[in-house]
Amino acid sequence: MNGDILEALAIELASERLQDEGIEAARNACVAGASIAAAAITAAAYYDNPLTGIVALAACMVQLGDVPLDAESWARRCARCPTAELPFAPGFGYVTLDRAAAVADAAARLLERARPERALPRLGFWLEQRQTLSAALGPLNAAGLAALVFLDREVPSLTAQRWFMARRIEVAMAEAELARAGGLGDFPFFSERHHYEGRTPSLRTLDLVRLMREVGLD
Amino acid sequence: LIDGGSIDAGSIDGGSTPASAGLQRAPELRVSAGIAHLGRQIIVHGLDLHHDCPGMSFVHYLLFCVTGRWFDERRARVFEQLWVASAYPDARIWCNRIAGYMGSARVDPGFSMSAALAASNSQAYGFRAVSRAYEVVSEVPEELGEREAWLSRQLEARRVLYGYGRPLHDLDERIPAALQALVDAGMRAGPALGRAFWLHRALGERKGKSMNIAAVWAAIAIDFGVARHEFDGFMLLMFAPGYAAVHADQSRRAPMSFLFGHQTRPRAPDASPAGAPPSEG
Repeated sequence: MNGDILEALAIELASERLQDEGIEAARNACVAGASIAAAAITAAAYYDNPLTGIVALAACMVQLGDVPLDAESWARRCARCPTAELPFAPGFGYVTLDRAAAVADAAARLLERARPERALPRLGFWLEQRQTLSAALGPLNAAGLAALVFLDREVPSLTAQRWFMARRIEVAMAEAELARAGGLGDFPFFSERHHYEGRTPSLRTLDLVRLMREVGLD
Repeated sequence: LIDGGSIDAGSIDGGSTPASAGLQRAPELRVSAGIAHLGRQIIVHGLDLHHDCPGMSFVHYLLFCVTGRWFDERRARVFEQLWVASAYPDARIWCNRIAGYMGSARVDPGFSMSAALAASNSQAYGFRAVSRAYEVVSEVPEELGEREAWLSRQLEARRVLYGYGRPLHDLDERIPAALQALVDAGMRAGPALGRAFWLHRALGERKGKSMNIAAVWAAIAIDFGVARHEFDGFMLLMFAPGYAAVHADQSRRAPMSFLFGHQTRPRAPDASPAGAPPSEG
């Protein structure tokens, strides 16, 4: 039963609409021709992050594990993660509007899939109270989506973290392979808008001809 | 353990004699790089770390650790300058950009460094290309008369000559900095560097292409007696200050503000890497 809903969650997490900065970082890792091992390492590092990665996932599961299904309780419990430097609700926020909409769509599909069993109560509650909870906590992100499913299906935290990390790495490697196949020609490389905010020293040059002469290369 | 000594195979597997039958012997590490007698003495390739090595620069010490050989101060200083001259803290560079994403997401700096380093192990740019440049430079014949024929063979075979290929007018700014390092150390170009520049000139005449810094690094390493596998192991951390700078910069900024929402999708029209979302219902 969990296998079925987790498989559906895996498909949702693999969707293009839920690709985030970790996936983009993995593309960077391979675009110049590195092995997909570089993508796996990059994704593993990225999804250890405390904002949208497994740290947030685990924190979200702790925060919402025993909270009654009412918006005020959720808002009170999640208003600030006690283990984070930043005031944010783990599982919420740090997501673009498009991606937040994709998370909501994914939540609706997952709930629909589980509805005969009515077995995703937290996810269902979040969907019901989406406007209120988003205003209080920020939009649900992919880690939050996964956390609610894991809580609803009583997946242990360590298993949940491992599962989430593995799925993100899988997508990252696939995307990185595509980026590598496309090559640097299809990738921004010194071409982005860029604004340096620091001090600029005066321009000095080294005289290559003189240096070549000095080391005996003339 | 360091001095070695012979152990017969039967004693290694621990199960071939009646006395040891059924017993699992502790595994044995055989090493030559060094050993830490904690609280007493740390030995690195036969030197006492805390007495013989404190005056070394980090790059010098790393070179010593990788090769097991002592390089004189001047050569170590040249490498030091090459490294400093090559660690660019520009977030647009692909491996640095990874560090930027990591800093922005508040990823642990150690993981960030690992990811950026892994990404640097790439073929188009990065350490695999640098290693291939070593191969190219080391193959250029010493005899001047043989070089033209060698180059013709490479070009006929359409071989990618790593270390070369920049447009002729587009000087790699690290090359004069590398030569300055030699000048500062009071050193002349060695024969490999001479061959590397010969190839630079020859490709400029034939193809309008010039060398990049990888050819210079490789040539200097060859001239200094660093073998290719040592070169591969030694050079890995040279970009690390760039990674660290970008990570630190983005760590100080608003979380997730680095290229937030930006997605590059160089995908084929029908590519769907891990499945599409299920249809509604």
